[in-house]
Amino acid sequence: MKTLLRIQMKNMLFRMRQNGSKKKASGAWVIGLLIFVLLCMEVIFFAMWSQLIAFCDMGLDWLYFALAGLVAVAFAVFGSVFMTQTQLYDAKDNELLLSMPIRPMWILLSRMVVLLVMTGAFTLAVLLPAFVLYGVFYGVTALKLIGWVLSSIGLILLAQALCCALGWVLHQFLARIRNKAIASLVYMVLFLVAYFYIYTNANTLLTQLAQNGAEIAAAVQGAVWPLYALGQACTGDILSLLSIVLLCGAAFALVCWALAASFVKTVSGRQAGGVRRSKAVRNDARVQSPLRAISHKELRKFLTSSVYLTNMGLGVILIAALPVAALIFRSKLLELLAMMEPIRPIVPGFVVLALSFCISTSCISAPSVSLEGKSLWVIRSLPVSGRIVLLGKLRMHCLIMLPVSAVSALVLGFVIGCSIWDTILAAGIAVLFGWFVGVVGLVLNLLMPRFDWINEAGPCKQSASVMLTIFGCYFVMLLFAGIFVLLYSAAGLPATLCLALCAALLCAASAGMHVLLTHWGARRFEAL
Amino acid sequence: MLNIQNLTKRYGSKTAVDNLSLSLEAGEICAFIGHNGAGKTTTLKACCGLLTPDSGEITIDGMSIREKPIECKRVMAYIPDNPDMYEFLTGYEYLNFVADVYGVSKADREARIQELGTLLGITDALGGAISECSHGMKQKIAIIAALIHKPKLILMDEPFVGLDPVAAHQLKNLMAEHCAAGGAIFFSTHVLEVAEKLCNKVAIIKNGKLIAYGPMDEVRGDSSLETVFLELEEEKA
Repeated sequence: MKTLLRIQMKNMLFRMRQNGSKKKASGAWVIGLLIFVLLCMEVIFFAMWSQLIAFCDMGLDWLYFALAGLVAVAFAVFGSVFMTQTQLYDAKDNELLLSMPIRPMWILLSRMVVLLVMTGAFTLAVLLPAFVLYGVFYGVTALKLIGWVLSSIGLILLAQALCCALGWVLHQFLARIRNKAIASLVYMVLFLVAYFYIYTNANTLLTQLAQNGAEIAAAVQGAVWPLYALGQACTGDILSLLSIVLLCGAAFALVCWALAASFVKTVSGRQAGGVRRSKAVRNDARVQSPLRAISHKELRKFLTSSVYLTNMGLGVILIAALPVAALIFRSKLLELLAMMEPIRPIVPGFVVLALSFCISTSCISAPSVSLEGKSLWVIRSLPVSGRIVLLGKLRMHCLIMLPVSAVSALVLGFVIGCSIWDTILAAGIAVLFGWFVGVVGLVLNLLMPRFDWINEAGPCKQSASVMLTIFGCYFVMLLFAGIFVLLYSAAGLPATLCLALCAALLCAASAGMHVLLTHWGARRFEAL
Repeated sequence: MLNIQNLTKRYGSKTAVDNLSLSLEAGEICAFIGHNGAGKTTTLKACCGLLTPDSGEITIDGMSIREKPIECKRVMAYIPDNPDMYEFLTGYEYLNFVADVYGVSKADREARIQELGTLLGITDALGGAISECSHGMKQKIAIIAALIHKPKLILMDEPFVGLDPVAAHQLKNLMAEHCAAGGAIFFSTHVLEVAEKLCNKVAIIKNGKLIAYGPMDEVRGDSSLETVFLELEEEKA
């Protein structure tokens, strides 16, 4: 077990270094960005718990903590279930480890260490604000503190147990369908729809919760004893605390035991006929240029990889969903805009900002160099220049991003009643920004490539190039927003002209980056 | 066809290939043998342009791999020891992708894929995802991909690993036909019997240095290649 843990830790540390070198700069960047994201989440949860702290005034402290626990587990499960599935069942060293005299339980537990850290982060992100807020208003006793610590540990174990169980279900489902990537994307979209529904109705839900505290408390106390016990455990009730810790620990142990018992079968299930074998088909050859062939290959990679598609494709879905949402809530939007009459001329800027935010999160090109992985020799041994390879990857990114961004901007412009020029400029900026994000993603991935990944979560979710592309492009987006505001308010230029100037600047920036990619980038790729 | 002059490649403080020189003409098959870690893969990758040598020059058909990598790659093909290909593609998709890059016409590629697929017994499996193929099947796909554009020079790193006896036999025939038609092959192998029967040249490398090189008959002399190889390995130890 010690050896397995050491390997997992070494793997984690190695992945934080750039290309196995001693430089920890890229790892520090990733940690810094993660901390930033975590702080943003804390602000949201502080706001949420400050509305529900009213339960404590009603003497329902336990309900406050019970809800905190419920939300923490739900948040952790949502955040970790896909990573759990890929880390446990899709890791490339599963077969190697299973072929050795190592019990499946130890393999599972060693992977669980990394997962518990992630799940713990999600769980504590919700619980810490709740505890801190309670401590500030009502004070802390030693017993309560012990209750908080032990229940947090229990909840982390429970959340991980749920992730493992759901991860197993997800793995079984994915093993039986042909296009797993599309299925994962649909699954993710459904979760997001549920998430956005809760998010948009959060205030209403929270208000209703706060107003009906007593009824909810009675219902929970009667029907959902574990939730009641959790709440009591956090108020310092020793018996409840022991029950919860035992319950959560038992759930975790049971799930681990069940997974370990079926681990070999589950991991080898795909090769053992878990997937329908393809029938012999004719070769439907369609001759393409090398550029198109590479672009087509990249597209196939994108559409067949669940991790790649769900992580980078969600942004595309958001971009497509924005105009649909705008059409559905058109009347409310127009009411809101009527209240913003003084700043109406710069509303197209907000459209561009919203779209740019979504475009930044869809940096499809950012992991594409790393995703070559051990197959890098294929493209490097073929008579194709680094320039064509990179343009092929960029072409794929643009084929997906640019049309949907342009259409989204046009529809949004129409829905909120922007002028024809503003709408066209908004669409132009969206297209240019999509191009910019594509190029920046490739440049950053060339600077920080990683070919040693065990599963695709590495380059897609845990790489510095993806994080830096997303947040770097956010920064650029805000910079252009600042330029727009400066030109409009300080220089007094008409909003349409400001948009046009921003478009011109963005065009120049994108073109400059494109030249960098096709010259420096090509040489860099050829030296990989 | 292939000319390696004073090739040296270092990884940090370790010299993987040390001042290696050899050449191959059209019609020659050269076996490249040596112990594990001797520098065979490094040499082959350098010839293919996958690694940049620290010093030395490699020319393919008179063109420098350093100065004209694309032109060199057009006339050669490389099959690695571990064919990690695009697992998300089907066999046909992968072969078409390679054919597109080489600019092989539709008629030619279909004929080649059909011909080689039948020869290697893999036609039925080409419609399936590469991820579902065994190592041997992936090796066969890699071989077809390498031969689809009829290269002049073929570089192979342990090509017989994972092949069933029928496929191995067919590959040997293909190699012989390729060289008879004016091509050249430079491949590494641990199967010395195959090297003896198939090759007209042999190069033996040890710890990055070429310790024997020349026509098979001269290097082998009156004994077997295995005997010569083992003696040389002991001598230089």
